[in-house]
Parts: sequence; C-alpha cells; structure tokens
Amino acid sequence: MRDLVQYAACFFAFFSTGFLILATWTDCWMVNADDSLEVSTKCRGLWWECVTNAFDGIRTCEDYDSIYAEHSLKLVLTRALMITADILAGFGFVILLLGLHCVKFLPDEPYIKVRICFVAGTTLLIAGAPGIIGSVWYAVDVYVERTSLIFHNIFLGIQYKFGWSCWLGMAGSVGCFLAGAVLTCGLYLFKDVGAERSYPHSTRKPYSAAGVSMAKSYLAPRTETAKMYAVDTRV
Amino acid sequence: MANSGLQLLGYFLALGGWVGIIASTALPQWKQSSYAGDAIITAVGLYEGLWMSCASQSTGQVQCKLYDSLLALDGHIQSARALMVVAVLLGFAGMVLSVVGMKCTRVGDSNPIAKGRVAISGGALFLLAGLCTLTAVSWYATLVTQEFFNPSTPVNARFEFGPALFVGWASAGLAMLGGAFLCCTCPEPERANSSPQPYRPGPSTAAREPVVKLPVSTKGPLGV
Repeated sequence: MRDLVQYAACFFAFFSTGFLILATWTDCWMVNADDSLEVSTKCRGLWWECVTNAFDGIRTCEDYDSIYAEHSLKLVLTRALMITADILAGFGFVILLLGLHCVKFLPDEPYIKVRICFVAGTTLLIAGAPGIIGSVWYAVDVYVERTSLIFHNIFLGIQYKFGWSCWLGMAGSVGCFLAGAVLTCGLYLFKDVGAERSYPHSTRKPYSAAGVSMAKSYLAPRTETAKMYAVDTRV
Repeated sequence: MANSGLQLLGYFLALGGWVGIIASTALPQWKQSSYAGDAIITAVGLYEGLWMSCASQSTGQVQCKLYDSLLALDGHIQSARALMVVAVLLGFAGMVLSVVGMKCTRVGDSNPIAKGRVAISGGALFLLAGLCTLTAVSWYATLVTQEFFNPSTPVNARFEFGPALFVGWASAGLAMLGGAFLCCTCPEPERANSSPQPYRPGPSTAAREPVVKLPVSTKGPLGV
C-alpha cells in the first residue's frame, strides 16, 4: 500500500515536473483569439513570440529584447516564478527517487527513507505554489486585459487569450500539489504503524537487515501478521 | 557481484546520451550555410534539419518552415529521420529495462540472474541506440561534406556541419559508453550463477548415495 502511494506520487511528480519545464520553454502563453483580424496564428511566450502563417506554414519567431530592456512586471515575475517552480519540482522528484522503497538507497534505514519521502513531498508542495501563482496570474492578467478592452469598446485588431502553455503550467502545478499531498499525507497515515514496529525493528536488526526490511515492507499494512511473523522468526 | 556504481554511472551516461539524441533529432541545425567563401556579409543565415528548414535574419527573426511533403523528401533525410526515431525508441526501452535490471532497485530481487540479464539487455539497447544515431549523423555529415567539396555547388550555396551533428555525435558516444558500462557487468552474474552449481551437486550426490544403495540391497535378494 505504501509502495503504491509512492509510485503514484512518483508518477505525478515526473509528469508535473515535465509539464512545468515544458510550459516554461514553450511559446503559447498567449494566443490570438478567434475574433481578431489576423489570419495567422500568433503565440507569445515568456521568451519569444512566434507567428505561424496560416497559408504557407512559415513560422517566424522573434526573441524579446534583452533582459535589461523594459518588460512588463507580469512577464518578469512569471519567468522568475516558473523557473523557481521548475528547479524545486526537479529537486523534489530527485529526492523522491532516492526515497522510493524499490531503490536501494539506505536499505537498512526505513525511517530515514520515509523521512526522505516526506521532504520530497514538502518540496513538491512548495514547488507547486510558485507554479500555480505564475500561471494563474498570467492567465488572469490576459483575461483582464481582454475584458477591459471589450468593456471600453476598444478594438485593436488583435486580441489575446491564454494558450496551452498556460494550461500546461497550471496542470503541472496541480500535479505537484497532488504528489506532495499524497506523499505527506501518505506518510502521516502510515506513521502509527511505523511507531508500533520500532521495537521489533531494533531487536531484529542484527539478524538480517535486508530480510527484515523486506518483510516489514510486505507486511506493513497488516500489523497482526507482522507481529506473528516477528514472533516466529524470534523462535 | 558486479559493481553497482559502474551500473549507475553507465545508466546516467546513457540517460544523458538519450536526452542528447532527442535534442539532436528535434534541432533544425543539421547543416548551416557556410561562410567559407567570400560571402561574409549576408543578411540571412540558412539552417536545415530533419523536419524543417530555417532562415535567421540579421534583425533577429528566425523563420522556419516544415518540409511540405514526406514522400518527396530526399532519401537520406528520410532514413536519417527513421534512424533517429528508432534510436529514441530504443533508448526509451533501454531506460525502462535497465531501471528494472540495475542492482540498486528492488524489482525482481529474488532472481538475480534474470535481473542481470535484463540489465544487459538494457545496455545492449542503449548500445544499439547509440549505433543508430552514429550511423544517421555520420551519414548526413558525409553527404554534407561531399556536397561542400563538389565543384558544381555554387560557393554561396554551400552548407557545412551544424551544431545538431555535434550534439548527435556526443550523445551517440555517451549512449554507447553507458550501454557498454551496463553490459560489462554481465559476466559476473553468470559466474555467480555457475559457481554455486558445482558445490550443490556435492551434497546432493552424497544424499543420493543411500538412495542408490537401497535399490541395490533390495535388488540383491530379488536377484538371488
């Protein structure tokens, strides 16, 4: 059961880290809405903007000005938040890999492994926060800009809505939250079992550390059988 | 037992190689316009990749266009595409297999021989992926070189190696090195497999002897 929780969290953490990194480096944070006058598809990202001509398929990309040039606060802060989220989520994923039960890192210390998982979960939870703030803020800003233009009846010829990169960022952050919650709460759910098993663990450790930890892991949810097993082995 | 650190090192090398293979497959800079002639002042730099051709303007804009037709493409681009995609897929399979087979994971611990074989097959897949990449990249490079030194090519329309080729070479080398590291842990599980077996017949024959004797003793009265 604990293994299953860990694998689910690992799966979520992998994909949400991937989504966050993809969202940071793809260019469709803002796309032109259907009611604008242009025939080509225009995508504006955090680093460059691209126009794809609808007729001949030629895609023209242009970098934004140098980093010291005048940028809107939204752009700069979203960049910073997304990069922070990427780094934190990556670290969380790597720490989680070390804490996974099926990886033989510190195989004799199941408690340290559980704690590593907890740390990974916390890191992922922290990583989700800047990710969701960055992407939701960007999306809300784009939406507010558009509605205020419509409200004041101004038509600039092109109107933007938020595009799939924004969605990727939101999905990645939600995945991070999910993985972090599963890891931290999963640890909390199995903590009482761990406390109960602390005594047999310390006595049985000299016999065969690997065997004990394997047996513990298989019988983790069933404390009754675990105790019987412990008695049997001691006899 | 084989060295677990060597396996890990091999795995991470091969993983880096796999990422590099993906990058070089996607990059558009397989060949770029050469400035070897007297045409130094150009407003446009041209790149060509496996999937698109790009023109980089001196104003900082980059225009890219996907190749229009799949079937009208040159044979060498098609085969390079195929080889690179196959390399990426092989690398993925190798990644999954060697995670299962490596000593630092607990999957299939009850059968270390099968686990060792899985690790070897993962390493072999990485080796194959590296070989595919090496073939594709070197073939493309050969063609670019031939075209460059072909006297009928106009001087201003000559292409030379792009960064993606070098990325491809480096990642092929990494993947092959990593695959070799994963594979070179192979003889030791085999030896660990074969060495207990000579010991095991010893006690078993000793245990069998009374069983052999018994029929003899029973046969004796029967024969007599």
